[in-house]
Order: sequence, then structure tokens, then C-alpha cells
Amino acid sequence: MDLKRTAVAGTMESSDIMVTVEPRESGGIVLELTSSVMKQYGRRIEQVIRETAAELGVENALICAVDKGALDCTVRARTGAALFRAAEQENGTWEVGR
Amino acid sequence: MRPDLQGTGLIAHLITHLQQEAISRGANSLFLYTKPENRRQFAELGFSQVAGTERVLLMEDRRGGFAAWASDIQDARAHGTIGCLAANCDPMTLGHRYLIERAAAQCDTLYLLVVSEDRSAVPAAHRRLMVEQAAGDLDNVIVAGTGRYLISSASFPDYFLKEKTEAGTVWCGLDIAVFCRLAEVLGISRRFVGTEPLCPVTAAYNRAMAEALPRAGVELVEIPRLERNGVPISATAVRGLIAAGRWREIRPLVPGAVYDYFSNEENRSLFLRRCSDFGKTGQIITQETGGR
Repeated sequence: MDLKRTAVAGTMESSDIMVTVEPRESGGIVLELTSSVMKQYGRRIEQVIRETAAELGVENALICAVDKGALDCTVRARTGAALFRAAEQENGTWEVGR
Repeated sequence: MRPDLQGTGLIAHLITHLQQEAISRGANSLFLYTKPENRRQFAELGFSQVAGTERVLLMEDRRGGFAAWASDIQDARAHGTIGCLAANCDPMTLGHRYLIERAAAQCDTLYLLVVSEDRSAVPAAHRRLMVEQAAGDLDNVIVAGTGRYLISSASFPDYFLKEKTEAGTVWCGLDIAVFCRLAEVLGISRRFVGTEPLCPVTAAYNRAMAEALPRAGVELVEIPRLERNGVPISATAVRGLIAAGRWREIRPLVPGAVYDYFSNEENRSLFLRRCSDFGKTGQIITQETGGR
């Protein structure tokens, strides 16, 4: 997936995560994660974000995420939505029950 | 914020909205100013500190933003005594050239930072290009930009609002704090400025630096300005001549590359257009000296 612009999804409300995606030419996925549960779940959140980017075929991007205790499904949905918006595709195929 | 609303997550709500709004308007990242005691609260919302004084912090929503800028400037050729000179060069004059030469002679490597903020009469990219052309023969000079961090509307808003500013209230502490952080990363031990007899904003900036830089291990070196017929060569005078349609008269005041640039009619009309655009909104830099 080809990223065209900076985009954001989610909020900084409790149990949500706000994900900002900025296109990059190179350098892989650079992730800046801030989380209220960094010690407990930081690595897991990072893993979910990276997996989501990989599944959508995004190889280079700056992803800034501010997490307020979101569940995996939320992290996945917000990351996906931000990436689709950055690619200017609002018609992502959504799956239920992953 | 009203005390009864503190702790309700209103700030998170507000920042979320601001960031969404900023991105929808094409601003990809945000700076914020806050009091030092609020650092942690904003850190939890993804902001990290660029620089701070006892009274105010400058934070940004990209953790690696400052570091990326500093490493862009950093040059592998830098060695020995490393100096820095920051200038707007709107446009570059022989006064700037003299200042750069004198500074370069007093250190092994000189970082020459050209103001990146595009709020002057000559477009930022053109100012930078002319500096590269007119200082390219000095082989220990590394030309880079001040980015969004130094002498920018984030770190030093007064610089771009000179008419409204009183010398006594110039707010340059943050800019100096940003510079001190950059100096540490790049190993800068000398900062060069031109003496400033005319512009109160720059004079106040120089005074504040003279006080603050030694505490960060940086020596401030003031270089007297180059004069011609008893008058300091200034970019203000050069701009005045071009604006008055007397562009040919700038020849003895500017490097060849700058004269060539203004020999082009398209560049001159762009200059005049920008002068009046910025003039209307009070954003034009009305005073400039060899020090900047």
C-alpha cells in the first residue's frame, strides 16, 4: 500500500489509541509509542501495530501512537484506519472476530 | 482549566481534536508551549520536550523530531574547534560574506545555518542557494538550515514580528535553549554573531546569548560589521534599493551570485510581490544586519 499523506485515526480517550501515520521514502517502520500501560503491554502493542502495517503491505512510515489502554482489536482497527486514510483509500475491507 | 474539570480527560479530548484538525489542514505535526510543571501531563499525550527554560517548555508531537533535524545537520567532516553562525541572509550581502570568512578563520569547522522559515522577502530556498553559491569556496564551512527549531516561529516568534517588539521584552530564551541542545549534539564550542548597533531585537538576542551561552560551554564571539563608506553593509539597505527599482546599485554590496539573481526580472518581481504580501500582514523582516 502506497502512503500519500499524513493521517490520523483514534482518540486519546481511555481504552482508545490515537495513531498518526506519516509517509516515509525509506527507513522501514519507525514507531514512536507512548502508552499508559507501557511496562505491561508496550511490546504487545508494538507487535500489533507492526503486524497490521505488514499485513497492509506498508514498508516505510513513521507511526506515532498514543495509547490509553486499548485492546488489541482497537489497536489493529485504529492502525488500519490511519494507514488506509494515509493511502487515501477509505474502502478498507474490515473483518470481524480476528 | 477550571478546577472542577481537571482530571476529567478534557485535555486529552482537546489535544486529540487539535491534532485531527491540524492534520486535516495539512500541518503534519504540532508544537506546544507549556509550563515546566505540565511536562509529564503532555508527555503522556505523546509530546516530548524540544527545549525549555525555567518558565516555559517547547514540546513537539514527534519524539524523534529534534534528533532527526540535528543529525541532518551533522557532517562527518566536522572536527577540531567547531563554530556556528546563524543568519537569515535576506539576501546575502558582502557583510555576511565578511562575517562568514572571519568566523571560518576562527575555527576548524563552521556550521552556517540559514534561517529556514519562509517569511522573508527572498524565498527560503533561494536564500539558501545563494549562500551555498557565495560561500561554497570556503572549504571548512558547512551550510545547513535552521529547520523548524532554531530562529523559527516556534522557538523565536519575536524575530518575525519585529515591529511589535520592544527590545526589553524580546523572548529569545527558548531559542537559546534550543541552540544549546544543538551545540551539545554537534560539539559546537563557539557561536559567532555580528555586532548589532541598529536592530533592537537582534541586539537583545546577542546580549541574552552573551549571558547564557558560557553556562552551556559555548563562547560567544562578536564580529564587527563590515562598513562601506562609513556605513555598515546591511541586507535592509539592499532590500530597500531593490524595492526602489535601483537594483543595479546593489552590485558593490552583494556577492556576484546575489547580483546575478536580481538581474533576473522574474526574481525581482517575485521579491516585490513577497515584500508587499508580507508587508501587509506585518511579517516582513524590516531590519537586518550582517549578524543575521
